[in-house]
Amino acid sequence: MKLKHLLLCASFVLALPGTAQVEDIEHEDSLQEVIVNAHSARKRMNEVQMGVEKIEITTLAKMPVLFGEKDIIKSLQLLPGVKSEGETSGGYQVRGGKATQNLILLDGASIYNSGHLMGIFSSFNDDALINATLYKGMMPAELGGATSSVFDISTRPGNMQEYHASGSIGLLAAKAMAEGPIKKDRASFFVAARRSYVDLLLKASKDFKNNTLNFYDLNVRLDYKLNDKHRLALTAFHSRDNMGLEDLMSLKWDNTAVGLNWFHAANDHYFANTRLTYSNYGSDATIDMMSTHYSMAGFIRHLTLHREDHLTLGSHQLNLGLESTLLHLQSAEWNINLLHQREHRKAWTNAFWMNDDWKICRLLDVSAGVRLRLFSVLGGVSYYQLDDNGNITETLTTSNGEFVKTYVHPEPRLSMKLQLGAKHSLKLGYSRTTQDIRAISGTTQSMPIDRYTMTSNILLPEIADQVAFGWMGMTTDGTYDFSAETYYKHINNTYDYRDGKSFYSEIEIERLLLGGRGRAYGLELCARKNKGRLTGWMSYTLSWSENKIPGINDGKWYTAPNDRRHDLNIVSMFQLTKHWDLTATWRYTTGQAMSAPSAKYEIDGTTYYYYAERNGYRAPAYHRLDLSASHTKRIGKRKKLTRIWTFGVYNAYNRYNPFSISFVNDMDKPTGTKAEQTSIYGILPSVSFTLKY
Amino acid sequence: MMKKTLYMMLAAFVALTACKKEIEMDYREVEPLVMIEGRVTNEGVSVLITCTRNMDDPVRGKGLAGADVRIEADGVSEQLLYDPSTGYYLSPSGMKGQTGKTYRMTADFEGGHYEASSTMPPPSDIISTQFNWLDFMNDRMLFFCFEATDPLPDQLNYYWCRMDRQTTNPWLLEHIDLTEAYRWGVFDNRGAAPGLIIHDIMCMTENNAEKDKEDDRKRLLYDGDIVTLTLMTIDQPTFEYFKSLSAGQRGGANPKSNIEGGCLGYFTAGNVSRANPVVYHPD
Repeated sequence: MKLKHLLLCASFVLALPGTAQVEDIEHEDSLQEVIVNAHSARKRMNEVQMGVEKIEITTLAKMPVLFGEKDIIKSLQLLPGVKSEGETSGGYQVRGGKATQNLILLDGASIYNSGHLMGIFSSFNDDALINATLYKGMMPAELGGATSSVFDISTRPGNMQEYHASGSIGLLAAKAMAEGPIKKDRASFFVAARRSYVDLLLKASKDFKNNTLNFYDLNVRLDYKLNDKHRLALTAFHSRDNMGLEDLMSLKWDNTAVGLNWFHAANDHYFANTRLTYSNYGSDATIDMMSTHYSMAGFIRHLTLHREDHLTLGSHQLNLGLESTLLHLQSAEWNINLLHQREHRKAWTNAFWMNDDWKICRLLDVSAGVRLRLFSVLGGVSYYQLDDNGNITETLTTSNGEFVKTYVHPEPRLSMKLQLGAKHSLKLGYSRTTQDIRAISGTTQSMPIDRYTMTSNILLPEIADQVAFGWMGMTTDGTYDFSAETYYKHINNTYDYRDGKSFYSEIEIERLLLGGRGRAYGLELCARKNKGRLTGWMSYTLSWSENKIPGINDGKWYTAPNDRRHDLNIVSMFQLTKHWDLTATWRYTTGQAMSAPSAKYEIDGTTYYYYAERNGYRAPAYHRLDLSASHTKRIGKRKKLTRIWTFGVYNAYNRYNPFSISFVNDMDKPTGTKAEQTSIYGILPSVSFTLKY
Repeated sequence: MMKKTLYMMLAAFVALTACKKEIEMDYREVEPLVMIEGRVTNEGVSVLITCTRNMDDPVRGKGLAGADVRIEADGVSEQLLYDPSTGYYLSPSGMKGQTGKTYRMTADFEGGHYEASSTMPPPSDIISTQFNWLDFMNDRMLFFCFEATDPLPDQLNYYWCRMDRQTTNPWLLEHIDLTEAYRWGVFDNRGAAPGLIIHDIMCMTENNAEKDKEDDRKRLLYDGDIVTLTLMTIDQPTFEYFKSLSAGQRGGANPKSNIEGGCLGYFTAGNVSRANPVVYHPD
């Protein structure tokens, strides 16, 4: 391997901190080509790691979009094994898990609640991204911290040769990007910003002019090449949402992430990456109405040092590393009129890993590793002992820095690939992952008002074991490829609210929760067309997801609220002419699991419903067609400007899909009850204009 | 209140594009379950026993006879008698609850044995009630506000309140069951000023009142409606029951009954106070 290639490797590592795979870049001359090639059928076939989806940013740009905003998370939801949480949610569910069991890393920093406008758009500006990889529970040893998936996203490095800029205006937001050399071939900058102007539209309305509804995000990246062996990258990200109903209520949330990355290549066989990151997620809700004066704020702060060393020894590629994180989490600080209460927790978590990508022979590849995770609950705040009903039986006073409890868990990881000729491969994998930070959501969708908590003396780490088996095949020239993967996942220590409790019931969040188990299993099929004027894919997921929590459903297994049996996505992209690109996506999902009553009765004169089984019914099926057409043209005397018009139609045949279903008493009905479906979006056209230099 | 208000705020943002429609449901039937609603208050003792009914049955359940229902306090037990005119089991001696006493209810009905206990908290006196309008998004929102004493300010106290209305609106008289509360809720005294609780009950918006749509009428107050407020101090298990009753209806969970034996419902010992009726006038 030449040093030039190592430097390319550096670019890749810096762009994709957790997942450098040297073989991906062997025959490429530029970073852009690396990324494109990483998605070819052959690359997918050669990937040893199971359950990996690499998101092609160029494909993302062609997807039909809601309100004209390209969205990496919405595109993710078109992949096999990945489901949308709901129409208005920015959350996604992977292989039967909840959205709160996903970890999103941006340049190695943790991002929470990554949705603007309650999830209508994701917080990630597509202009600012270079690549993104989703690990569906099966992951190499250098990654951890989530039981469902890790979504690893990288900010785009600035161009070291030329200056480029672009600007885009959509229906609800505008964005701009600039990049270029600070010193040619030595240092570069990249900056991208996005700001909504929904609030300006609101100001024009008599009814809504005093309301607040805006968001913005900013991505910055500076790259510096010290010499042929050392590179530095500084990344920064900030996103914020502000919502408010006059002076009566407000809801704000933000993410901030800063990282410094140092890549060092010693020789042809060894390189290392060291990263220091800080991230802060905060949320703040207030109500000031009549005699009610409430405020509630929470945050999650990470300070992380991550080091990984890559060593090539013959047919072995070793990845050794460690990660140390100081965590500070405030599950809530609230003021309820005259009452002030706060609950916050500190922890120190460490992980050490070793992973070996070993090419045993021409036919067999193995990626095997182990991640040893230590989670120490730190003192300085109050901890409790609880009885079975969640009442405090003892308050534990601890001193600053005291180790209250330490959990040690080895997490084995294994993926194997057996090559069956040039066109087929079989894959087998096992992965154990643990999760310490989790949002406890009272609804089926992630919300900014969700309270977060982490492993404590009472709450145990969530532990998931997943096995998967898959086949992949491709045609001789790689025009088509096909894959099938089946999985079984078991989760211990998954938590949910006790019946009747909500985020607001008690400040001590452990009092509100009950722990149990979960399991999920399913089959994912995918067929892709990779070449020609018509490209795209069709993905189908058959899945089951169940929970067992003492105190719920008589302690028996019950269907999880995110259970959906069938998900079908069809994505087609057609290059009509040199200038026109057409895209259509169609998704179909069978009904979401829901609880419906089986009987009714009166309490104090009002009719209520009796639920015989948890999530035993199905909502109506969901299906939607989205269309997009883009016209791209180079303009200007030197053709240095590119103008792009993008027209989109969301929900083209105007189907009102189920968002929620409620049961209401209605004396006009012969049964005295009616079931009412609420839908959010009908047909929504959009247009956006982009100018690139 | 906080949760409800936040959800209301979120709902306001999605309301711009949302639409509703009625859908067909194929409900699964279950064997009827016993439902017990037992109260010992400073006003008297009453226990109502009914059964659940199928989802397609519009007829409200009547109080069922044939149960052996007893209330016990301080080692003295009294059997309640069934009153056919109301469907309730009532105390023949006119027993009334007393503050600080723990009451135990037992009920034997159709082979089932059910029992529960509850301790009666001190009373809260209603100090004042009034309607207040709040300007809200080029509209006004009507609140029914009341102040009451907080009997034990240094500890967590729980309250149940119910707002009823008497109306002469002919549509309402035909289409709603007036035994149903206009509004009800439970709350606690967290953050309250020492010795004083203030509570606001959201009623309706002025725009909705002016539009007077059929779908909204159940939630609307009309000029001349007479509103009454009942406030009851309750113990924690009763509070948890009503809290989970309200939350569970949205989330598909049944409330956690404080009655042992496998029935639905609750038993509470509570101190009731009532406010003078208020006549609603829009201005």
